[in-house]
Amino acid sequence: MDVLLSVNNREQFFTLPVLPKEFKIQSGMKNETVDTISQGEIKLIGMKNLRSITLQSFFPNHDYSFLRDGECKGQYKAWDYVNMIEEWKNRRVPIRMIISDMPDHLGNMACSIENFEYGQQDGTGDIYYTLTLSEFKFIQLEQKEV
Amino acid sequence: MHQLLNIKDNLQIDITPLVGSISWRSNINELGQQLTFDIAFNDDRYFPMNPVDLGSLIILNNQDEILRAIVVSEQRNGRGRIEYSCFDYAFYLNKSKAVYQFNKVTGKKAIETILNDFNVPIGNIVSIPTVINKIYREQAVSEIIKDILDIAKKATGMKYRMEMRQGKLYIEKQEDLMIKGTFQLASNIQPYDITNALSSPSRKRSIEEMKNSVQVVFNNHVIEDKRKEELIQQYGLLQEVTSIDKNDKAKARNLADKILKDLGKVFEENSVEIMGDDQVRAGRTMKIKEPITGMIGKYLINDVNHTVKNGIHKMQLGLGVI
Repeated sequence: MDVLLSVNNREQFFTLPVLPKEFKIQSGMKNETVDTISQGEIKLIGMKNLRSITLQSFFPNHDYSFLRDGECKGQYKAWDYVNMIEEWKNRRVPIRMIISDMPDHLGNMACSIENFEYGQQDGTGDIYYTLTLSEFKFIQLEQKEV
Repeated sequence: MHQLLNIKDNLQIDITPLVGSISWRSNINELGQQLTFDIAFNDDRYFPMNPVDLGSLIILNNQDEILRAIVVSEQRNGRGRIEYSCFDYAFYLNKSKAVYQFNKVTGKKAIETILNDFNVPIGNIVSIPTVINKIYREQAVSEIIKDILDIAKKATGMKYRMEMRQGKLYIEKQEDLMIKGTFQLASNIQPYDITNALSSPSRKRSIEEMKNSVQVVFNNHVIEDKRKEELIQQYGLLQEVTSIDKNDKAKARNLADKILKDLGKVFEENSVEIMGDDQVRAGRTMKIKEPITGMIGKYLINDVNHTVKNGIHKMQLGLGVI
């Protein structure tokens, strides 16, 4: 499995050099409960929430044997990854996340960066991070002449 | 699914994907319905341009058309959502003033004259035989129409209901439209009667407006006197007097009966929250069965506020007795 992050049709991209040890995708519904007088609570099914995912891992400062940076190998240092994500935030555009082992319609999604937390925590110079992404929906308005 | 269409310069754009919540309301005392909605706005580069502008025509659909309205106000707050408020074509009747002099024309003819002057398409107007002799000065057009219906009601006891449907004005007798609303919990579950899932019912009963005795006066003589003895026994005598002119003298008994039927009752002001049904509109009637507060029977919808948010359609109803 690999996780690939890219921006603007792969203008810039990288695979996560160290995979998170786990990830979970949040995929909820916005349902409502109404209190009726004759039947108590009833459930009203609302619409889908946007899906979201939190990736937690580190950007390596050394050439570890377990790195998975594939075609980007040796191209980026630890702070380069942080820089890239910071720049993407400045651009205010959605990014794309592809998780290679998942079915395409689930694992390939346009995302917005919701939060990015990073820092060093031991003497290795590795940068530990938590990146929270949320699904981004493209909107197309249908129009016709009348 | 509810759908909002924006029509401007012969271009129809489905704005539903941008719309957060939709609400529309009607009130029995107001001609016309109000529609409000908010639209998502962002200045990021993938976000569609907002096509809505003042004066745009907005159509609310749910398979069939529910209402069409003109955007009359816009509220923007920073990068936040933009709120729009719209009124149906009755807006022009509410906001325009006019001078009219009616000389021995029937109510129907008088109303048709006004509507034609203001280019409001007429769907159907029932016969309003009451003769109108009145001068209106600088009054809102909708007030003039309402006054004509009021005169007709006073003379014949008949109540009328005004509605805009598909951009056309309908004036019909009030008892003509009984609705039976339904809702679906999911697309593969059969529809339920909306009155099965009432919430927050409240019921106010009062005899403040009750009249249990009606006298019709012609030339300072009481020519007709109708009473509801049972109500007088129970609540005491509450009397109404109405005068009549020569033309309507023959109808005095009929008039007294109708007024007594209209006012000789315990009045109720009720409200409920209920699942939404598009047919529900002020002026229509529906059956309610709610034993806890005791609302049982046919009720007149005085006002209704629909909201659609997050795919869920609910409404708040104000109900009165018929």
